[in-house]
Amino acid sequence: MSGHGAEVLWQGTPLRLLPGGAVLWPAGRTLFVADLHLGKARVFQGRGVPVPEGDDAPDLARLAGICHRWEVARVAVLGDLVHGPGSWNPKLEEALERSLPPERLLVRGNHDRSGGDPPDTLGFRVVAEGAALGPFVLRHAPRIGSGGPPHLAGHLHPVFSLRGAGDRLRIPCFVLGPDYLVLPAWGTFTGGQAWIPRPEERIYLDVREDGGSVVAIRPASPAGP
Amino acid sequence: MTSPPPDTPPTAALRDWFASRGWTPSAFQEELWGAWRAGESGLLMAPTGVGKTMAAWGGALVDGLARARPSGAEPPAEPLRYLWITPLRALARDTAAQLEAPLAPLGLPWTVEVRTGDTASSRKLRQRTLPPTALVTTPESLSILLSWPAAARRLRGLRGVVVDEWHELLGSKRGVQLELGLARLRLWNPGLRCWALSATLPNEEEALEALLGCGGPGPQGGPVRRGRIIRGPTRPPPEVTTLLPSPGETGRFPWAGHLGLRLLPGVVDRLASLDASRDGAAGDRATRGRASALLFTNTRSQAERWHEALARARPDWAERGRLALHHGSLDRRERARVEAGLRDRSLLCVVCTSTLELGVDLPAVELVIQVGSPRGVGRLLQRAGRSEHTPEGRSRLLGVPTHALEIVEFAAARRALEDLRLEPRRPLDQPLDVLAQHLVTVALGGGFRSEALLREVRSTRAFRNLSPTLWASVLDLVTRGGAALQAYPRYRRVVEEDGVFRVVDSDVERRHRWSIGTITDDAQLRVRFRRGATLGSVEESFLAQLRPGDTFLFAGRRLALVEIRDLTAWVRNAKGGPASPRTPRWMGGRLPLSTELAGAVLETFRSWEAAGPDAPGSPEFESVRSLLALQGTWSRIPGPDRLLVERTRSREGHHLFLYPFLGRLVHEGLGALVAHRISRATPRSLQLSANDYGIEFLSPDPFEGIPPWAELLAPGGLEADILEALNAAELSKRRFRGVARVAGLLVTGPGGRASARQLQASSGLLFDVLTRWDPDNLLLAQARTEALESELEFTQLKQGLERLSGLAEGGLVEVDTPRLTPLAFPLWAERLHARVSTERWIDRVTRMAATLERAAGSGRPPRSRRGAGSPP
Repeated sequence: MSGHGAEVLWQGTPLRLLPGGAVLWPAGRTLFVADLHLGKARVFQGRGVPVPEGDDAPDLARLAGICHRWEVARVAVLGDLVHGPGSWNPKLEEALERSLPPERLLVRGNHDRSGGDPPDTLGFRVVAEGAALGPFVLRHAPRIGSGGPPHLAGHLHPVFSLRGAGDRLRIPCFVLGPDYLVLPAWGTFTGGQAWIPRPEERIYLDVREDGGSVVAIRPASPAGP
Repeated sequence: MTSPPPDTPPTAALRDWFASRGWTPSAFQEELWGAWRAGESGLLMAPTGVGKTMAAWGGALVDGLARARPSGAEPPAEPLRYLWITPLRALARDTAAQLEAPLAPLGLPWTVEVRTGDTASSRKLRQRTLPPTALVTTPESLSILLSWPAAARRLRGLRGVVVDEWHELLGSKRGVQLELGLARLRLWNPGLRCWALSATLPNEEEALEALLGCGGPGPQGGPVRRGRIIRGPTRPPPEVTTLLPSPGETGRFPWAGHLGLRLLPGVVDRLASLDASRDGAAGDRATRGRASALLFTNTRSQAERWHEALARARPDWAERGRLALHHGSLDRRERARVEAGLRDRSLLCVVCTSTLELGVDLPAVELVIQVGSPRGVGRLLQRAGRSEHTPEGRSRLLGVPTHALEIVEFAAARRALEDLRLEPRRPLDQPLDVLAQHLVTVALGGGFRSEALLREVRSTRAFRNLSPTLWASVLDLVTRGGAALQAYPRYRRVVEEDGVFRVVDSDVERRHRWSIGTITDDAQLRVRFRRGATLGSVEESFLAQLRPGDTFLFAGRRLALVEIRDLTAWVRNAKGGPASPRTPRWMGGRLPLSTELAGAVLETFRSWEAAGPDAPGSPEFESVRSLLALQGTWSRIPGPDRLLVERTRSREGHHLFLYPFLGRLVHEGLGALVAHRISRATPRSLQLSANDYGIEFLSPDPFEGIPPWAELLAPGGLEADILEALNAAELSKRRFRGVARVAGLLVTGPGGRASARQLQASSGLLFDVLTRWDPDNLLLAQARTEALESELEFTQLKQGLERLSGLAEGGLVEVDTPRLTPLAFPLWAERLHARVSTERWIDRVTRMAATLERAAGSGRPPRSRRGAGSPP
């Protein structure tokens, strides 16, 4: 059971929400992830802030593991693959080359603009906001309540805050709205934005500990149109 | 008076100026002037309002007059001669005006200027080229001065430094920042006079040592002169009276805040009679013999609630602008307006927090009210000092308890005040984050060589025992990022070239200066009207719980949140709204009862008990007589020589209550320790709650077979047990925020710039990254130490255990009670801040998720259930 995530129907398409913050589209053998913010510690170091490097390798190893396990043929990154200037380096390129399936797509996020596109050798197809992939529209920054086409997005790093007796936990979450699906940030060294759910949203907690599980915290409303 | 004739001796000239103001120099003032002239340094302890400022400044004036004398002519443009350090930038302007007053009459061509975070940058720039004679500034701004490349040249002419309100800085990281700064200044100016002004402290030697350092460089490497301690006049203790609830209202089962606003009518009555006396004198416009009152609360949210309640009770006062609110989160201009209203006596009552406790120069008020527990003896003394004095020189204070046991606290505070048993302020020991910050500051301010700076740093009290190993690690932190070298390939902050450590990156330079000032700040959002004024700032964590449209109390208004954008909470005035809108909760609201006051409470119990249940007593005793009688009947009354333990059962399980009276923070640590030791002997899951008086342990199983109390309370193995008992990581994580900010890991740089945004990471995230990839990082160790010391008051806990384990041998009374006693009740009601549980994290998540499911539909997570429900 552990690590299988949760099956959902969104916009009539079966998807699987996977612990760690990825969305699997089984029919397209495609994995969606967002906000890896690779090389973030390096950006800090370059500016004189002593943050140790280390999270990149395990973050990519997790990604490689999922791609392998679910036999993914294509990875689509919904923005912020890297964090900023100085993020790209040979070690990172090598690790990406090792970790990802051959077909790679990147929706250019705000951090990618300052960090730079991946080198051509990595073979990413880099697209702008609103590009289409199969039945999906892909964005980095979601447009909530805009009435636009249904889309998958990242950017917001949603986390859900749980309060109980004496405890407070912040857990990354997937947000399934009527015409948007926001992914949590894949990167470990990323912050989160407390998400206050709207009535029409379904929230799935992305519990990463103990093998990982994805937990729905409100009853699934009838699937979207 | 005109300038004194040129041959007047300096001290006589100063005395003449005093006389022209109708003053006579006090003995302690003369003593300090003489000591200053003799080149001495030291500490002056005296209560507020006796003339500490002129005692110290007089030293500088006499020194200046003596130097100006030989030529008599206008001296040429001088370098900066005197620094006046104040803990609050709000005080700087008032102080500067006080320092300026005698200059012209004495014929001194000096200038006095202010430099704080609020000073315009054009002014700061001018101060660099054309320094004033005296500069009034804060510890942070002094650090910034030290960070300029020409710092040594510009500060080499200093003759004297005065540190105002030293007791406020002592015991804080800002105090250590200042210790390090003073060590620099002493190095550049071997003859520097350094004086601190302080309220009365029991640990005066420590306070002096922190100011003047411990040996070290001296002029030729010789020992530093010992300083002098001057004590100002003492005042008789203040008169403390307590506003008491009517007999029926006290009740026998109190809980924190249960009296709430019930005493409001009594307070309104007092204010009304004050108002009447003020109207009576209103005709006399020249002197404006009008009365005003200060109503102190312990927290900013309590201040907001009392302000709103007063405005509701007397809308006429509110409409005529006679009520005001003053606390640290309000906008600076708003606070200045309120202070002006107190000076021109247009305000009847100002509801305030500790912001008005410190030295803002204000006229004495007719009535000082303290709402809620006094928390500490020194604090109550300081607040009472705001009132005018009786002919015998006594200040007065009216205590307003918010629950029945606070009635006892006021009586106890009165007793402690009579013996002047004040709380010490302990200087901090070796906070490495502050040292790391200082290293970058010095690297900017001309650079340093390792050995020379180590010697200088070790001359301070805080770092007198700094080991060469630790020094090397701090140096590593700022030069290479940390000991785990391979983890920081691109790091560059301080660079070593030919043995000299400097900062070469201008971005690092800019951000460091920015961060120096942020030792105290927490993550705050500005609160602002959509069109117009900024009202102040509120902690982000509070605003995160609100949704647009929610109403809350702030700055004495009902506000509705419109949106949060650009680090600002945009609001509008709320019309109507719920009867009790939310009030922001600020951190720092959970100040524990001081050990001294808690001890006085125990003594008060003892003397009341000794007098016998029927003996007539003080009004406070009468008010809680039935409560204590019941406590005595069902159980026992705790005392200085009696440690009380109660056991009872309820539907919830088996309760064990322990009453050490050591203050809430110590109790949280002690509770965790005892729970850990109980569970180790007889495995079980325990729940804990703690308040200022005691600790509750709740267990599903009877407390059978637990070790004897002497063992549970044994001081041996304390540190190891407590680290095992507590979630040390969680505690450290909480402290890490401050550590990371001071050490420069938490970038809060000038907002809005994309480059600064790229460097934002929460302290929790940084903590996790460091723990995973550089677990030996010394900032993590620093957070751990601080967690023990500050979150648990480890030193106090250790001392407390010594006493308790002594009592456990002979003074322990263990009682089985059929139900909750008056002392147990508040503990039951105030669940619960810490929890001991062996359940795994994943279970907690799913269980809480289930809780949320049940509450589904409300659209937000349920709030914690503290204090809800009915008694078992």
